[in-house]
Amino acid sequence: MAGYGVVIPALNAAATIGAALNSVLAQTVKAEAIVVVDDGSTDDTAAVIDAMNLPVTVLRQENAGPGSATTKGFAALSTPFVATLDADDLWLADKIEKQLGYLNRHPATAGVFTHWRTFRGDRPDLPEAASVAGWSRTTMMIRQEVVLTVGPIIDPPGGRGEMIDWIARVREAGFVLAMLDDMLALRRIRPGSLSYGRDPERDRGYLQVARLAMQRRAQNKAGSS
Amino acid sequence: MRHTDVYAISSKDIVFESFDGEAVVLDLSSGKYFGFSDSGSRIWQALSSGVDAQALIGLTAGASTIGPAELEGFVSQLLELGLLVGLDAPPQPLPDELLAELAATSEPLTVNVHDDLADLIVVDPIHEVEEPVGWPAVKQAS
Repeated sequence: MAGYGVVIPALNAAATIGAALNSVLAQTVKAEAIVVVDDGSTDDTAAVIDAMNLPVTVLRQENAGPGSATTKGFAALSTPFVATLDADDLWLADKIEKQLGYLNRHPATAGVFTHWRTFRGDRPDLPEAASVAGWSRTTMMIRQEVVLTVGPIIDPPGGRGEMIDWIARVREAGFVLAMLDDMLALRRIRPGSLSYGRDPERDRGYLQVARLAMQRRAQNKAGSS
Repeated sequence: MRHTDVYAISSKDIVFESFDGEAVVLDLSSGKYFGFSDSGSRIWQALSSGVDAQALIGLTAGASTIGPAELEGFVSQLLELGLLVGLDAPPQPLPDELLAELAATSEPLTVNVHDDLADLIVVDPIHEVEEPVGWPAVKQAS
């Protein structure tokens, strides 16, 4: 099987990055490269990774958002497949094996996502939530050509929705994306993470993503007429 | 019978923002989003902030004026799309700057519905977390 690399953007993730990395190392198919991009953390994220003494490359940048950090990680990889993971989420051990298997059986498919469910705090084994389709960074595995063609992941103002925008752009570029029914990742819910709670400021990110989609549509229309 | 035609945004799942005068509305529960013409953006802003619809009839919009049938059709669309609801409340005043902005428009009143991001937005559970309810409360696309 062709090799894959992993990108994990991390912002103040000292409490969770160890578990995330261990879930990568526990994969039944091992990664060729693991890149953590520290997005300007002010906690011990870097020290925690360092202390684990793992084969992990840590890159740092001034805080610029998870999309920017992921893009920086993409640039550091040269593997034919790229998988991404949020620093507070977890993969199940056969996630990558199933995704690589799928992509090898479907050469025309450019990327594959999986179902996931949520968990709270340090209780990953409590099946307290339903399995849902995860169109997300944590569940994504794509071919390298997608990254090279579609370009950077852009963080909308406020920080939400950058993956929606990027996945939409991947589709618009004509790439076929698939969704596995298997539940292969866990999303952590904790106060203070970007994904917790409702925030009108962050809903603005979604609105910006919608606006960008309309602008691209108008441009394509103008370009094709 | 109500003596005024006053409306409000129908629910907390309807969020909107004006980007340089261009209104973008998103229904978080369905994942659909809505784009407006330039005059539509202005009228959406007025209606969603409680301006009496009757007060908009006859206003100058570009080379023409807003007719009662055109406005009624536009309001009906916004009600059918679930973006606005009728409100029994005193109308808000029409802001002066809106008159000038409306006069500078060039397109007829329109709203366009887009659902190409719906599967991505609806399954994104971010906006549905409320502690006492538990997790997740992902709504199904209609």
